[in-house]
Amino acid sequence: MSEATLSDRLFLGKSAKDYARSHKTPWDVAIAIILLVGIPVIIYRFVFGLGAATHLSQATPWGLWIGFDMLCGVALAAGGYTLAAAVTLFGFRELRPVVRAAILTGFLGYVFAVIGLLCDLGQPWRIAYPLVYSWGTTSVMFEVGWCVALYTTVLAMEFLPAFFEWMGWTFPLRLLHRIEIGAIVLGIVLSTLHQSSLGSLFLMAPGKLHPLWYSPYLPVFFFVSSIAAGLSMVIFESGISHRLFHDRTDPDRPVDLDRIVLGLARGAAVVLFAYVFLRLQGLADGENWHLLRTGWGALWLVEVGGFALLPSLMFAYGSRHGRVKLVRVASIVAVLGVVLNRLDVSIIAFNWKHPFTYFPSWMEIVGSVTIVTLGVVTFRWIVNRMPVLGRRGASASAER
Amino acid sequence: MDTGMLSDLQTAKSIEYLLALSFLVLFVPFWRFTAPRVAVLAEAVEKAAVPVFVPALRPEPVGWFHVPDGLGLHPGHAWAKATDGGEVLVGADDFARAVIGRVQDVDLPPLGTIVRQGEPAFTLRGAAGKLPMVSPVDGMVVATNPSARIGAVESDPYGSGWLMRVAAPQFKRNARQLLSGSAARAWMEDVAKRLRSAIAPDLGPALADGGVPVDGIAGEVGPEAFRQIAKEFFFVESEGGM
Repeated sequence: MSEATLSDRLFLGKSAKDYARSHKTPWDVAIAIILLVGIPVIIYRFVFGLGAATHLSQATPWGLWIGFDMLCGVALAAGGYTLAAAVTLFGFRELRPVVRAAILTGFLGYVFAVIGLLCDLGQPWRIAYPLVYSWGTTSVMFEVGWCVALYTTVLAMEFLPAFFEWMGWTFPLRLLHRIEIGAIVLGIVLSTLHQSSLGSLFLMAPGKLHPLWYSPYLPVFFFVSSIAAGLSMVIFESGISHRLFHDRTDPDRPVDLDRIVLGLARGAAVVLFAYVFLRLQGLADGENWHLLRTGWGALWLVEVGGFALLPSLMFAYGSRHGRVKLVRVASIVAVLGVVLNRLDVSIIAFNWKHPFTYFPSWMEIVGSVTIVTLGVVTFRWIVNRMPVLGRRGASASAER
Repeated sequence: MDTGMLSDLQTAKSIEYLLALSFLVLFVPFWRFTAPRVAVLAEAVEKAAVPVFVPALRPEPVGWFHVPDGLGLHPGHAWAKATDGGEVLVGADDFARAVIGRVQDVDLPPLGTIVRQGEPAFTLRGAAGKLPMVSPVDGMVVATNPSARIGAVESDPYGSGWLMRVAAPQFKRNARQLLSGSAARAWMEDVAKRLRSAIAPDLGPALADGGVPVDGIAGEVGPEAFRQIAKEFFFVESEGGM
């Protein structure tokens, strides 16, 4: 490790020219096109404002960048705290091989969710205001802002050991190991706080959110579904990572990923099962059964029945009979279910009585696709270099 | 509050209680349903009455250590071999034998114990201390080998020194994590190199030029180095002293 130069580490042991040449794949071309279109669009939004780039209005001030990039991004990044809690607090040590990838996914999920949020808010240089100059202690946004900022910092600290191992810096690595448990516990506390407080945001708008989605239990719904989202994302992401980045795993310590996936599936099945009952409880509490016969009811049934109950049963069956492929399909369905839920709450069923229907502009869609692409590219860059999937070393033979 | 409103409220609350009760009633069977099926394992336990005799395999020497064909080596230095009866024999490899030296005793799990691949399953006891070892497969222990306790591990680690027989319904999946054939030999060569480096880092390859390591490396290198070897090569924490 210590012999590898910075250039070796960055270019995977190749010359800069060879490294650039190795990136002429169809995937890299597609990524380049997305970034070439998307980054100017994001710059355009910052120069000309929300009105010029989005379909947002006074009636619909939150759109795709909040509903998808922020709410979905944070929910799907929940694998970091879920796995950290499972391994460190509850002793599921067999999950350890996938923890680092889950923490990286969580960290990047939060970083890019914040970038999505900044696209919506604008004036990124004022991000310090709610943190330092202008505390709005009566606002839920204050709590969300602080929790997200702190938790992103904690996730960075949890991931830093991989960076230090990559650089061969042993002293800061030892220091970090000393505070590892504290950081993990702090991370779990912070993430449970703001996963639920993202749901609390919508408690302020009881008249705007459709009664099938509005419930005093919204914070609980958001929190519980984030656990299912986190577990499902780890199942989904680990399958792809271990296939694409197989040469980044440690041959001396082979990971029985199927067993880990089946264990996670069991957890996801139970969490989604509880979540379905919670949603029914919310329905009963609001006495909204009759609304299930409407078009909104159909959407609710699709969301809860098709994207929560169904994957729960798929996870359960897959876990019982060792059907890993079924579990992976279930994880995709569950991830889509959480995305649908967040979009329902923040966009589709929000302002449901309003005559104006919001649909994102092409620039909002391109902006979101660009942010997700940046996240994937960053994940790939890090996994190809740092010991995320097991292998410790400066370089891989080829970048995936 | 008029009677109608009260009745509505009672109905709403009744539904909520009913839902909560349904959840509690359904949760336990649902949780049990998600558990992997154990029927296969239970049948295997009933079938297993007497430990089988296994003829010795013919190990091929690779550098310092022997690596036989026809079985799978776990990187934690336990081996696994499927038997005709659909079960799997498990033992410690030649490297483990060389590290622990004279085996004074073996702690084997009771019959019916569930073992997990990569998790501690049995312990070799030598003069230098205890060496816990991981299981190479998932499954249930259906037989153990009494002769392992009286020297068979030292004399024939891949044959009559087998340690336990495991009903492993997921052996096909477990086998993907095991090394065999040329891959196992290449890995064992690498292990030998790493061991040389671990016990005498300054000498580097010089040690490779002469002789083979003494049996009972653990006793020669001292407790701290033994702990390091256990951690690096066996993925476990050793215990010095008896």
